[in-house]
Amino acid sequence: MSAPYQAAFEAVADALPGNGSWRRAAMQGLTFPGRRDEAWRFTSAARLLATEHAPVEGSVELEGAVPLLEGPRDAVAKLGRAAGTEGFQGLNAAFFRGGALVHAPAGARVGPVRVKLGGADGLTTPRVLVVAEARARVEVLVEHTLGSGLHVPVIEVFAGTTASVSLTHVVRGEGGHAVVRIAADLGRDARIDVRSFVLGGSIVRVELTSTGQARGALDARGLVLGRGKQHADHHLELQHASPGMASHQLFRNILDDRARAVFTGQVTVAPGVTGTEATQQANTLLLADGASAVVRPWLQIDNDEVVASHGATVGRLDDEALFYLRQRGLTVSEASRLLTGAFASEVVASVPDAFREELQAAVDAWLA
Amino acid sequence: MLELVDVHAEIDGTPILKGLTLTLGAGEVHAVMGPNGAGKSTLSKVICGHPDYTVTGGDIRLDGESLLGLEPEERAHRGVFMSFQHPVEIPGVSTSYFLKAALNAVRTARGEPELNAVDFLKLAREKMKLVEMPKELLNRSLNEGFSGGEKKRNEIFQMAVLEPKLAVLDEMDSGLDVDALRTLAAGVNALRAPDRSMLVITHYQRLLDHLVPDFTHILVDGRIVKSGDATLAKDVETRGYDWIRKAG
Ligand SMILES: Nc1ncnc2c1ncn2[C@@H]1O[C@H](COP(=O)(O)OP(=O)(O)OP(=O)(O)O)[C@@H](O)[C@H]1O
Ligand SMILES: [Mg+2]
Repeated sequence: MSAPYQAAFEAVADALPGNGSWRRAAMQGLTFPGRRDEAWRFTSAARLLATEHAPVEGSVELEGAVPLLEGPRDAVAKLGRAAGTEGFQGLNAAFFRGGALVHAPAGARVGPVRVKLGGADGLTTPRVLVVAEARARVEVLVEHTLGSGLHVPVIEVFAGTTASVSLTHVVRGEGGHAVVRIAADLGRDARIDVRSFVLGGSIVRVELTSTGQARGALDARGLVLGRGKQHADHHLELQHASPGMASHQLFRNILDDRARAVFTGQVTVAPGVTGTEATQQANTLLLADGASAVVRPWLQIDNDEVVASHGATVGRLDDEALFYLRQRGLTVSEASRLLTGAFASEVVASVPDAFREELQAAVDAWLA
Repeated sequence: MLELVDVHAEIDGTPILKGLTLTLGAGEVHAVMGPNGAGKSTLSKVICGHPDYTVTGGDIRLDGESLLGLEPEERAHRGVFMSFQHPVEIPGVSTSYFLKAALNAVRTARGEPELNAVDFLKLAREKMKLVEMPKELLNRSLNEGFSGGEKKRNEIFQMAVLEPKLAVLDEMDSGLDVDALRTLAAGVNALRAPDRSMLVITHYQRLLDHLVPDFTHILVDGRIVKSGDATLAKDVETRGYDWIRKAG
């Protein structure tokens, strides 16, 4: 039996744009996580690969961004420098046809930019490249609407020296599977904020990796709203590769019915790297008996010179808070909605002004 | 207005109220005192329908209608309000948003039109003056990080906005400094009305100096063991509860 997607690749390879040898190398090296892979212990790669989907071009709508391969050569040259080709990313590297480039020259302010990527009933592999040169500031929203197939986008974010990038990332959809890779690269004194919302899809995994230069700071927040049998996995692998780097994680899962959330927040501080700070908080609110969450902090710190803290909670709505609200006249459902919305509020509040209202509306609609 | 008739109530199978009988007429203020653990907060919560408590006997009636089958919010809609001994902190829910929702729920139940944001703010500002509540508190998360005194102020403020028929004030004076005590007692006094009854639970005569009750009751071990006028509280202040226990 040949490897998955091999034949499909041969059939379309010649028609794909860009560097053919890079694609071919990615395809040849393509391997998928197996059952024993710790990083995939709670999300079944086998289920994502159970059906081989035909590669198709999903829709790409851009507001303030340019089509990926039409951007300035220097910027486009960064493709593949933050993301790799292992696992599902390799599928993207082999098959991607286009996507979006958001480029901010040195000192520029760019945004709000909107990139809307549609899934389909096949394999969709768009790519987004965000390049903020030194001192630039970028605000971008990337929104995925899943189809019934497999959506495997790769988003690479480069923040140059003292640049700052804010990426608001939203996954919606009735069903469909997705493995999203967000690869962040922090320049010296740069800052990247990622706000990741998983509001739909049936199996969704969002992977965030980061590394960088001295004093680069990553602030990652996420919200999962799950019901039915939805499965959402936030998987973070953050490297504190340079002195003074910081990472902050705040993730909230709100799960109803039989929904399940997985959170892994791996922080690796390399030996000898001093003065770094890592915080992590992952809180889950279970609205039904059948809902569940797995939270793994995975702080791997071989280093005394790090300030690290983490906390994880899994709980239900607070009965005393519910009673307080009901005593004042709110019905059980109004009171629950208010408390559930409050649980999400810290993450929603951290979204930039330009996008906050639409995310608040999405959360409210889910709660209604 | 409020009748408690031989009320028996338990929590997790432990009987706490053991045949409690008490009647409040319209417009009356009744004080309830009693030692720690006597069941005063239990009484408040049972009147409001707290789901942890089971009423195993007797009846609680408001204007002749039993409250027992009603949910907490249905009781609130009929005009029952309780000031919590320990108000709950609710991060992420703004005080003003919550209170507007609560007021409109109560107004709808009374057949009154809902207030819009502007009219609500106007009303809220006016009532905040009554209890000298700092304006900022309205924009903060409900009770989150409020000092003990601010929480109590917020409770009486909410009472002023919601205009209940029956107010159960469970230790509204605990944690208050002397000035705050005077202010809040004056606020509650201003809310006395011919169609509003109040059940004021306290450990201290001090509150009752400002908020003079029509009747005082002593609650020991789940029962009212002695009732009297405002002077009964003074006796408790000087003599404690032992003489009542012995006499009972
Ligand atoms: N879950 C429970 N199981 C058993 N007993 C309980 C439970 N919860 C409360 N109690 C008991 O009920 C009794 C009455 O408590 P309550 O809070 O009503 O007292 P109180 O009169 O308000 O006291 P205080 O003056 O200290 O506020 C106490 O002895 C308390 O320990
Ligand atoms: Mg008490």
